[in-house]
Amino acid sequence: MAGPTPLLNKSYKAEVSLATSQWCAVVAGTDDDEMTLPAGVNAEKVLGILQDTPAINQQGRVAKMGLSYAIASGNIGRGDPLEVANSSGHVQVAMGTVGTYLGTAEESAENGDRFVMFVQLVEFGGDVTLSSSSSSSSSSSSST
Amino acid sequence: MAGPEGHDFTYVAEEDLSSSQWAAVVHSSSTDYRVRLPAAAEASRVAGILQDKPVLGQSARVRKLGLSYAYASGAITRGDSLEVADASGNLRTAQANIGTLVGIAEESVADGERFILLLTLVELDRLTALSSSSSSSSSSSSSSSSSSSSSSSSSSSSSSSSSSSSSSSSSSSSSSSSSSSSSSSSSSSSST
Repeated sequence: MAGPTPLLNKSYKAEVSLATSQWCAVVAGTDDDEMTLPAGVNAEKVLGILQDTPAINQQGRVAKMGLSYAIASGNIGRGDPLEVANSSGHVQVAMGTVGTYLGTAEESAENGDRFVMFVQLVEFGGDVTLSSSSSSSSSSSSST
Repeated sequence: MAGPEGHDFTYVAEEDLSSSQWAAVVHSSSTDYRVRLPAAAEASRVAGILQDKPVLGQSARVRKLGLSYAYASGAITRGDSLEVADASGNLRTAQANIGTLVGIAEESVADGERFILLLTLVELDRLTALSSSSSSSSSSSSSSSSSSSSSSSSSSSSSSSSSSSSSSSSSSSSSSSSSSSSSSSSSSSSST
């Protein structure tokens, strides 16, 4: 299947079964080079977006930079900043206190959609607060 | 002459950008994979820096990672954080409220000069923790206690996003929702 192409992938070992978690955000596991699903919204230590479907203890490829599919939680507008939305590793528009900033949406999407995002991970660890940027600016920022 | 190197993605020009090479461009408000000039300073949703000179409807090569030329609005000092300065897509040293943190200046330049920046596109629309006239990077500007990296357990973190002006999870002009992979290819390159 041809999809968006990450510029940088890295392999991690699945600490839990991720067989149904393709295109979901994954976070650092207990040991180095291991990954697991996030605990919940606004997770920190996000490794990237899982590209395949590894079973427990199998290696999985994680997109760390560039374009990748992701799964939307709620409505997302192109250009929206993104963060982890839930323990499934879906993503949502970032607002409030940001753990790991995941990147921005390349496409608009609705809840449950698979969409293309630009992965650019920044670890804020809760130090930064974003107000509800998103949609409001989508119209303002570029419409003329 | 070889220009600065980076990775470009392909969009479509939503307006005539034939005189906007090296300008910051933003995502279209109406259609995926289209770009146009920003409406004003401190623009958010910056897609990257335009590398060529497309007319309306032509493909536009936009740099999103790596180094790029850009034009300065006002004096810029190497190391400054950069934001959109005006509706022409020029850049300036980031002020108190950044829309998109576009990158970090690699060179010191005067008003109107072309310079090289390192792209670090981060959507900081209405960042509340940024102190005025930054010039350092985003992460540092917001430092406080519990910084990132640290050790501690694995999966991490907090539940519901606390603080500040919350408001619901944004809607937005969702149009053509997803699934298709569509264009936006990547290609490493350098430019002229």
